[in-house]
Amino acid sequence: RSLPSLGPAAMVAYWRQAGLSYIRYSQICAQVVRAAMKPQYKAEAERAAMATVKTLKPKKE
Amino acid sequence: MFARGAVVALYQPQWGQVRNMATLKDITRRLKSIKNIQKITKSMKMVSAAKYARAERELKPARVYGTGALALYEKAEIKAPEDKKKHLLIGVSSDRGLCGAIHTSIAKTLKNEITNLSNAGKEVMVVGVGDKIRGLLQRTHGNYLLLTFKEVGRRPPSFGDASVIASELLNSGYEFDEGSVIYNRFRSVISYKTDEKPIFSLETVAGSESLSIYDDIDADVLRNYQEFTLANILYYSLKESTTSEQSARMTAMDNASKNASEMIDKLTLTFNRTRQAVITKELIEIISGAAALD
Repeated sequence: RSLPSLGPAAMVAYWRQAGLSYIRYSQICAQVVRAAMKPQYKAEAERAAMATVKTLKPKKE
Repeated sequence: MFARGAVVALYQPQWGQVRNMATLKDITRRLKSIKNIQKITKSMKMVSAAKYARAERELKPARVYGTGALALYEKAEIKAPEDKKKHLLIGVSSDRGLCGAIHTSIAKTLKNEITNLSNAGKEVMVVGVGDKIRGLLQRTHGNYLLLTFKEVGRRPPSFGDASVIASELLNSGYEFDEGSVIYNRFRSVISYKTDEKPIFSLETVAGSESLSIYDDIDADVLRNYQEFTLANILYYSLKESTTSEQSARMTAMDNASKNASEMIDKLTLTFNRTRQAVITKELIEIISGAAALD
């Protein structure tokens, strides 16, 4: 998606201007929070947040 | 002139049709293999039962995400205008089979929707979550497939999975106006239902009149909300889908074990009858041989 144009007093967030989507932004925030957790809770949080899905783009003939 | 096609009468000699009575060895072999199958299906049922218990436990908090995400659409009564052209269908299933009608019901709904939307002149693209959807749709509707995702179903789904799917969807470049997520909603251990939840594009939501009643909404906030809602809806549908799948696999494996036990009982009876027949035959041979000596 293209960068949003700065209209009259547009409150565009700094990460949106840098090209991140909200999903990516929240992923990074969550990563930071998980890295700051105490060790006994960190392992559990890391396990719960693991993403195993792989993308498969169909081959264009 | 009434032309009559040449009718060729093919005469098939009846040789391979008569089946001999099974020998004891054949029955023993069949009995052993069916007993093995019964053990396997029983253990698969146990594994599915454990996975189902966990999935149902994780579904309860996940339902909140789904209802929360859809609440805005329902309360503000957002509807896509009729003339919108681009449609997106997301079919949520998994990679693994042996779970009854889970995959085929999703594929059937997808195929029907594709046909309806194409006939109405709209452009449709399909995203398949799970290898089975790709397998079922590729041959006939392969050109509608935008993306597929695999490695679904091996481990319970996390929000990370939903984020990956949502990100790929947003980066795919397909600017859809309206869409729906098709998944199996979990009702109870023995029943699930194929359900559809709507997703709207940013333009549709921003252009809806009832949005003016909400305070402090600007384009950026709406866009963030839309992206997050997409991930939420996908997370909710993934959770419901896995719970339905595990319960369906439990039922399917239970039926398979029951059928296997029935076959084992029947085969055991034929085995005993055949054994007695063999013994009787041997006795007859011995006795008639002894009688012939006299």
